[in-house]
Amino acid sequence: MGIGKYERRKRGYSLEKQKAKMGVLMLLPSLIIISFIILYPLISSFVFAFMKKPLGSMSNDKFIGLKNFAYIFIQPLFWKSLLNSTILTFATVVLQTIFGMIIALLLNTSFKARGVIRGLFILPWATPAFVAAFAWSWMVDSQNGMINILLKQFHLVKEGIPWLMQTNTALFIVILAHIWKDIPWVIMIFLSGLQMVPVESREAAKVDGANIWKEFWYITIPSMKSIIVIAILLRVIWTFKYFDLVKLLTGGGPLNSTMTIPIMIYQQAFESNSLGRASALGVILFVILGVFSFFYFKVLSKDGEA
Amino acid sequence: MEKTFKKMLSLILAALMLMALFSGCSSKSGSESSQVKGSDAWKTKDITLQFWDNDTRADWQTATQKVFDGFTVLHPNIKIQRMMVPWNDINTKFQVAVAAKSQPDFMYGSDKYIVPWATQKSLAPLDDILDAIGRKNFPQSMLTNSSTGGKSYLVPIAFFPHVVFYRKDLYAKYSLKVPTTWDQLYQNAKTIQDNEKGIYGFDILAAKGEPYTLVNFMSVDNAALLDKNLKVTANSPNTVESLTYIQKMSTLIPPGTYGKTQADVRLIAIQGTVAHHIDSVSFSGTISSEKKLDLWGTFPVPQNSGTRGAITGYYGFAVSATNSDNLQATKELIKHMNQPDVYLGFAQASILGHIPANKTATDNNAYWANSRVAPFENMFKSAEKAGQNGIVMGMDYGANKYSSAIVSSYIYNDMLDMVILNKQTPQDAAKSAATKMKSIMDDVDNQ
Repeated sequence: MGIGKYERRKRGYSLEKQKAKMGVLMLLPSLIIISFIILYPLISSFVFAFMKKPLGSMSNDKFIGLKNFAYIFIQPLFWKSLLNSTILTFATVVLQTIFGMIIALLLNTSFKARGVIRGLFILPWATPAFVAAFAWSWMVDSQNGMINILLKQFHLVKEGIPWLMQTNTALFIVILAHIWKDIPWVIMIFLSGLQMVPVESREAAKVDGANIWKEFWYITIPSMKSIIVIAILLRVIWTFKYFDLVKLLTGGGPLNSTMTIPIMIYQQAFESNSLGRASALGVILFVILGVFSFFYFKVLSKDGEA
Repeated sequence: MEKTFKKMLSLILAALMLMALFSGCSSKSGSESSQVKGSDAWKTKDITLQFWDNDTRADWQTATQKVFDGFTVLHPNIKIQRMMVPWNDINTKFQVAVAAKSQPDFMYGSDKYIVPWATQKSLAPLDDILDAIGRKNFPQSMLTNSSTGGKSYLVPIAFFPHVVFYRKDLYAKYSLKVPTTWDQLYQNAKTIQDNEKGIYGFDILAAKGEPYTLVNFMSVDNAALLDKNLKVTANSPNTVESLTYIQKMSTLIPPGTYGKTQADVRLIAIQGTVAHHIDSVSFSGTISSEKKLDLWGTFPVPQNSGTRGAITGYYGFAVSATNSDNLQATKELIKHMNQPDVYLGFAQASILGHIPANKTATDNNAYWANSRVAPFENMFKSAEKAGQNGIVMGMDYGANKYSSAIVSSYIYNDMLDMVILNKQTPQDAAKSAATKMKSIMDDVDNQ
């Protein structure tokens, strides 16, 4: 006698269960590592934010409630850092989006050596942050920097400008360096998005007499809407918490003119030796970025449904 | 077959991940602590002492290695492992190491960190060694500034007063006298700059964390961020006077040099671009290696007010071993280093311009007769004298609980940026410094 339908279903289900168990077992090491590297520090940060916790001290830690937050909110430096972070993020993301789109559109056309040119555009993204910061600080050097030499050559300035040493120009250079460093990612995302624009719609638009701008505005942009929104949201999240370039270029100076929230977190932890306050700042940053992450996931799920 | 292969591959990958997970875990090697106080177990037990070093200079490395090798010959059971830690990162790294309970046994202890680290109970008191070596052999100010709670936490090795290096040849050319006042110093600088093409009167050390020129001039003008009673005096008339002078000096510095690191400014100076270079006496090492001793002389930073001298930095060995055998072995190493003959050899071979802190060397004619030291004898003796009333940045009247925060807040750099970069008035810069100082104190008090 053969195996009944019920038996066959039961055996199939057991096999599925077995496979699932095996899968979980394979994933376990990764999950453990992720827990240690991400979850444990995250939960610790939240706990430390409510404690008096000096770095490196052998003394006992103390629960102090919201005192760390209260202290931070009354510091003028916190509001200055928040403002600088906002300006840096807004300017960087807007300019990366605009120029990223322009470059992506250009790279999407057919021309000789397109592959090589596309590859060259990836270079800034592949450059380590230290190297990028070193290169930029030399490019803007007041005596020997390429930018000042060119400005003097074209008689636009008489003497070299100490870009990174002036409070009114340092943030501008930091923004430029950020744009240069991460625009390749934006270009790549938009390039892949451009492949999704229906060819028929573009051809139909051309037949109807639409010019380049109208085609871009009424066909390309709507087709790429979700990709653009996702790219912007991700860039906002990543730029807001960017630490490397600012630390390496200016360290938050001169006179706190480039102080950002991540730099302030570092200073609180390792210069003021206050893990508690650094963690409180980390929680504030987490909340700010959490808002953008919420919108990101919302857009992502809408996109998935579509 | 394919399924089996995939399963095997998955198992191998999972095992590799597990190994990676545990590979980061390690326990600090070291024997168990001896429970008996004053135990001699360190003499026979296999011990590895971890030493955190900041100084990459060949002279220092060679001189200290010779001391370590001599010690390990006497105690073959002890190994000394040197780990290089970048100068700017030492505080951060040490704090993190203490939090992770993986601090070294001993380290290059810089003057500015000793008291903060000791206050955090991260260092071992060294009174017993200092008593064994003889406290009178060390400058009292160094012992005081590295003590807290009645205990000492550093055995000084060397100190480096800041002096004015000046171009002897240009002074002779224009018949200039060694200045004893600020006005005379400025006039000499201006005379040389006005008459020598391509040579500027001064340079300024003002890189982030290296605002030494301002600190020097404030100190010799009896200006300070805090007074003896820890009251804010950052906006005193003397501070304004110092900032005014610095602002005047900045009109005589080579363009584009403001904010450059000490190493870069030294390079600019040794290339002959400036007439006066105010720096640690260790600049003599650069003079020696460039064979320019005939061009440079030194004099103390002219005193304008008060009795406090210019910066006199110092360093030594600080001990952070928690294991009692390692602690005892480290203390014996330091005692070994301070034996007169061992210390003399070390001082003669170590960094030129670092004045030995232990008087058994400087009171010994053999030190001054050494072929490396002899050409600089006058320079070093003048610096040694100048350093007697010297201060450490952030510790104008001795170490206090705000010292470390003062250094890490870059408050001096802010003042310099305001008067030199932004061309603001010295009064505004001093006022801003006072506000920032209050904020720093508030920050430290509320931690």
